[in-house]
Amino acid sequence: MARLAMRDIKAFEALYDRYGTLVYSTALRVVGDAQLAEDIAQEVFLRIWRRPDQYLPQRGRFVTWLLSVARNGAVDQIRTRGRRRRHETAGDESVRELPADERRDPALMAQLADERQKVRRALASLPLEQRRVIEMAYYGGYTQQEIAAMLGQPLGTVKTRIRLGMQKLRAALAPEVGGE
Amino acid sequence: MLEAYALGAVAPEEGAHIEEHLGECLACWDHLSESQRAAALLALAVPLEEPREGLRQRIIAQARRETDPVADFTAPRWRLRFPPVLAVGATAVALAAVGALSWSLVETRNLASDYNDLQTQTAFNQQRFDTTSGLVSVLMRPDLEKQAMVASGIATGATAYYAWTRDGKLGAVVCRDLPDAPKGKVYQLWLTCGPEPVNGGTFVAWHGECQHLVTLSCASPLSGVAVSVEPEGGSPSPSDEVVFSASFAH
Repeated sequence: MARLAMRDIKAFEALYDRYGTLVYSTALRVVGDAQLAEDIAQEVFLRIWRRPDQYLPQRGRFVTWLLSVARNGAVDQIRTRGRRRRHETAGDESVRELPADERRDPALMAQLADERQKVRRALASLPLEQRRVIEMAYYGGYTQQEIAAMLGQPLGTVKTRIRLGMQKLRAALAPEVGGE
Repeated sequence: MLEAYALGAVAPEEGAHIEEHLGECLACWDHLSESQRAAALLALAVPLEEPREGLRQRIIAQARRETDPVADFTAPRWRLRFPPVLAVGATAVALAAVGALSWSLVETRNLASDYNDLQTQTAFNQQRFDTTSGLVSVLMRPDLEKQAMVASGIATGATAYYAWTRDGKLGAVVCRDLPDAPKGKVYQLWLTCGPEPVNGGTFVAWHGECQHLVTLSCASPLSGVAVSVEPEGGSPSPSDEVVFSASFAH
């Protein structure tokens, strides 16, 4: 980040090479539209380029902050545009990792792949109904009330599922959550 | 409820209640912080899709343009006619001259820019120091009262409270996770203590936080405060773009 603050374009290129796919994939997961996801990814990276001081290390790891910015930007877009994609749970989807590429940092990519596995395993370990509401909230940007209406479930049931599911996720990801 | 808040899944009115509670509950902040970290990890679980190669080029090119306006210049349209040998020599001399001039201009521009940046930074730091000192003196007052403000618009997800001394003379807005105001805009505080909102001064977000002090000169008791987005320099009356508000019962 210090190199970004010094307007080092090579550092910016390296940043994109490391995280571009993740940022784009996060936005795509939310908006379900490749062109819009690219626009969001562009805005995320240019925001960092313009204001690298927006990231504060004491608030957590860079990658999770970066992906939160991408996710929140994508949710803002779908809320503004009123566009929704179908939010299926990603249960049987194969776990694809970033292909080897000399531009990417192999050690960092291996670490990210490991963390991705852990998060996916933690999500997969949740009861389906808890996982579904969490995915609808996080990837879909839906409120509890919207989720309850979409699933035809009482609001209290949705609230309980979110609370229990998140508590289990926190426990399953304790090293990652505590280690930030 | 904090788990849903961490996922961004609560309705605005629920969010306001939670933020109000957070202002009084340190343990809740810790709980929320852990839930937010867990929620942030969820983005790591998305299926990976490669963007088109053109995206990288587009982003890097835009970053370059924003870094160096010189990169945007277009070639001059005129052309002088020289014999080939003379042309090479003249070109070399011209390039050397242009190079030296460009280097000199760029260096001068950089130095001027650095100087301006330093001046701006120094003034800004002094202002922040003054604000923080004033804020500490207000927040340490035994007669301090405070109330959470409801966030809306671009501040949704941010938290803020308004603190004031019981003698009604000093007040302060303190906020967290407040995004920067849009380009060319600032935040402006408004105080309701009469028929028209009173200007409480402008401020900006700094690393997601804000601390803004105000000295009150209201004849009537304060019945509410609000923060809106206004053009730089402030407005004589609030726009519709209110980002924080609170009302006080008397």
